[in-house]
Amino acid sequence: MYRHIDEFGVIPLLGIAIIIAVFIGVSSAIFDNLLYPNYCYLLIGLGLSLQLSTKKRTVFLKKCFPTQTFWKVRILENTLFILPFSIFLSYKQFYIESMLMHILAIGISCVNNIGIQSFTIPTPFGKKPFEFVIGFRNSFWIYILAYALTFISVVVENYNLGIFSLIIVFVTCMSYYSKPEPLYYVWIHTFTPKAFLYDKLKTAILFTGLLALPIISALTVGFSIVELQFTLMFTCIGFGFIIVTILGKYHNYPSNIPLFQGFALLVSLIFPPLLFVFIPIFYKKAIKNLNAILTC
Amino acid sequence: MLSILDLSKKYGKKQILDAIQLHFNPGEITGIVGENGAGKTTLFKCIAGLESFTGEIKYSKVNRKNTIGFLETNPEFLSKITGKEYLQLICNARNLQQIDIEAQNIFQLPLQQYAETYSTGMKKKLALTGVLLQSNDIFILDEPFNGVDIQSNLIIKELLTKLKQKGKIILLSSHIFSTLQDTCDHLHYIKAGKIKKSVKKKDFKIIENLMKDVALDEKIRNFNIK
Repeated sequence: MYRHIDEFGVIPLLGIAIIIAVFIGVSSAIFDNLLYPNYCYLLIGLGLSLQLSTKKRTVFLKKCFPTQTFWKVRILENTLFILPFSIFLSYKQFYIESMLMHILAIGISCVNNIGIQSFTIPTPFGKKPFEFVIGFRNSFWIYILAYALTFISVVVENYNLGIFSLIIVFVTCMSYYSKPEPLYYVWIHTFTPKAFLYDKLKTAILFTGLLALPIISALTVGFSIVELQFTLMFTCIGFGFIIVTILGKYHNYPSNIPLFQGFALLVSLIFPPLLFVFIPIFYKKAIKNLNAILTC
Repeated sequence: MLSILDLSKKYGKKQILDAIQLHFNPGEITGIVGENGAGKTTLFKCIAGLESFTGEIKYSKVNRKNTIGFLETNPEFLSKITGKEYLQLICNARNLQQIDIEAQNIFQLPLQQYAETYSTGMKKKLALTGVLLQSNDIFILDEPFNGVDIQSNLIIKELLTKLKQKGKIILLSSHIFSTLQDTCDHLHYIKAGKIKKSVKKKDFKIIENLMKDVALDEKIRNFNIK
């Protein structure tokens, strides 16, 4: 993790502090807003630990270590990964769930073939690869969770929970643009840099809109006109963040060190009107970067 | 015609390509041979516009890049994208509408499966199908026969003949000399970033012998087998 934070362009100690703060914030939000938060939290923690079980990763570990050491490593890394979650559960006095989480995490260390699947998950975005095609397959369960939360928010008349689910959708869609694609995947385009960016933005806005639509509709129908204004405001800000994420990716392309983008997203989160400042800056640099790749 | 004039490439202080001069004519297949690390792939990437360089590349049409189909040695596929979606992406990138991808599946690939689950040869065939779908004028094929089964090798050779008949410019590299003998009209031998020898079809034997000399005389003799 230290190396990842360093590559991200953030001072590692500061990065770790931010991650801890975000972890505590999100965990508290789950316990404040969800029904049966202890079970939800347990499932979220275990679900996230599955990313250590990818086939590519475990095959590499098997090559590095003898069988007995391999199992020790897998059990140890799952235990360490789950530790912050179990500590938070203990802090919230759910001691049985905390212990159960560790037992299940050890059990999950036996799962070592996630990732390369022969079963193809269907996606509605197949005509326009690749970000939403891949992203949807990786995170379709997040939408199920978000839509379920929206339904609960309408039933229990908890508007904040509904907005939380809308934010989940936007953040998930933003994550599809977090990594730069290989150079070849940009080079193959015959578009001008302007047309290339326009196509990326159009696709992202359309597909994010489609995924957010059920939540926006439910919040519109389920809550009053006053809350509708907030829903529209959050939707507009969400689209703003999507735009800045895409432009930020190509602002730095093909580098994978999003120092300035990370800063821009952070300060825009505190003061969203700053998006209007960052969008043109990123756009200009992205055009310049893409020009070197797309025209020769 | 595609002309490469005085093309050089450096990575830091290391000279990768040194004053390369080459000409490629439509309707001809040109092979580039050389040892690993001789600079073949870098040369291909420079021609494609995937690497910066000094020197000049002249092409009779306006935009070179948009008419090039580049098959990489090891095509990179994004995770959780099916063969069909990859080809769709390729077509979208070139603004090609209404292409029946299933009908163009010349290598009978399982297009509904994730491309990352394909074998090395299947990945190569998928990438080649993508390059062929684009209707390019210039084809740069970096080891197209590598890892591909015999039947598909025959298909690729036949496809190359068809492309040649259509007047396309074709550049390819291969470590299997017989495939070059069967397909190419010209052969250039590259060593340490320089074109050492260029021959026409009738003189391919010269390059084969040159490569044998380098491989057998220098290396095997010096290697101390215990």
